[in-house]
Amino acid sequence: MKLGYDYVVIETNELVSFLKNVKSYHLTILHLKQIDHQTYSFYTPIYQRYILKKLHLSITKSIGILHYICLILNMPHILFTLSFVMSLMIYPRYIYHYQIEGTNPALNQQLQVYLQKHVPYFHEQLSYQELNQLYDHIKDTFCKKIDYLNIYQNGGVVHLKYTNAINNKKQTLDYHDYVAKSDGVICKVDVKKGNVVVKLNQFVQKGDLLISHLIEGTDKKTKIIPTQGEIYAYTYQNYQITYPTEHLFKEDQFEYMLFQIRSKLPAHVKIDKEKVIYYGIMDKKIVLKMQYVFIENIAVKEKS
Amino acid sequence: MNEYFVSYIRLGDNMLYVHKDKIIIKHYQDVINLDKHIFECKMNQSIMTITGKNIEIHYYGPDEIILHGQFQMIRFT
Repeated sequence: MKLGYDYVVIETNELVSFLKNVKSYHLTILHLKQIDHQTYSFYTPIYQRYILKKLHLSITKSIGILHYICLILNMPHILFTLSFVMSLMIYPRYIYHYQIEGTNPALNQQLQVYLQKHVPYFHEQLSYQELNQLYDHIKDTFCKKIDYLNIYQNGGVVHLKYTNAINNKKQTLDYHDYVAKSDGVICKVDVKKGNVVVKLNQFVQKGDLLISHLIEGTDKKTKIIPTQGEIYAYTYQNYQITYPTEHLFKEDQFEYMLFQIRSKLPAHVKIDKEKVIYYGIMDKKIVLKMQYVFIENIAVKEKS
Repeated sequence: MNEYFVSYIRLGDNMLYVHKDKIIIKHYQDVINLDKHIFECKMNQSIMTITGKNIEIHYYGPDEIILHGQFQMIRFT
């Protein structure tokens, strides 16, 4: 009874005879109310709607869950409802999308084509065994391009994650000594292979040995080992520039000359400090002397 | 129907449950008169008249009527 009602409004001056009629048709009426002199309203259960049609009564509105169920079951809503239910049932059972996560666009494209070929759209969901086979096959096919691979499916989506292969280049071992290319104070040691013979904050001169390819073992025997690495040091460099006084305006002299010096600085170094040592006129020429403290890699291979 | 009834009357096959502001009539035959102040219906062997204020039909079924309102008098003739 409480599932749904139709709301009906009637106009009659013979309410008693209307009620007799209702009783004869076995119709149930709820909340019979008088709106005005000859107008009455009431609710009837939705399942008795066929009796309303027999009595030629029109429904003003309907309420309750049965009403919405009736709405859904009517044409054309039933088509949408069926489509929705079918899609809920069908979509999770079939594969309709590939989600490839990787940083190489060309490889992504290749994997997309590969998946479309081996697991076409609307293919049934893959079993655990099929996923393993697919994993092995992709690993074999793209072994030169992929290091790490993960495949899983979530609903109708196949997820594929990979990382690019990076260590495929063969490295040749180098047995050269590394020596200092200029004077400096060691500030950072970044050596992957070799015997480091200097310490932090140690002053080294040009040509001093930094990384050796010889090392003495605990058995007092000297071994030859490969060398590779970088040693950074504070290096001190002076730059000087001179200009005839008449060539420049007085206001622009310093800025222009400083710019000239800075444009000569090497690109691969990091500037730690910049100091003006001298700025003045010497022999009718303007002189700017700057001192720079660089942080640079001073380790170079010793020429054999 | 599971509420506490103020009184219960049985007249032959007819039954009447009287609450403070609700009356349930079972096995009625026909409604004779309906107004805000009076309700009359034909029972098996008599005519029942209910008077009061704001009398409304809350439920009207083929075999049962539930009235709501402030009732003053019930009379069988």
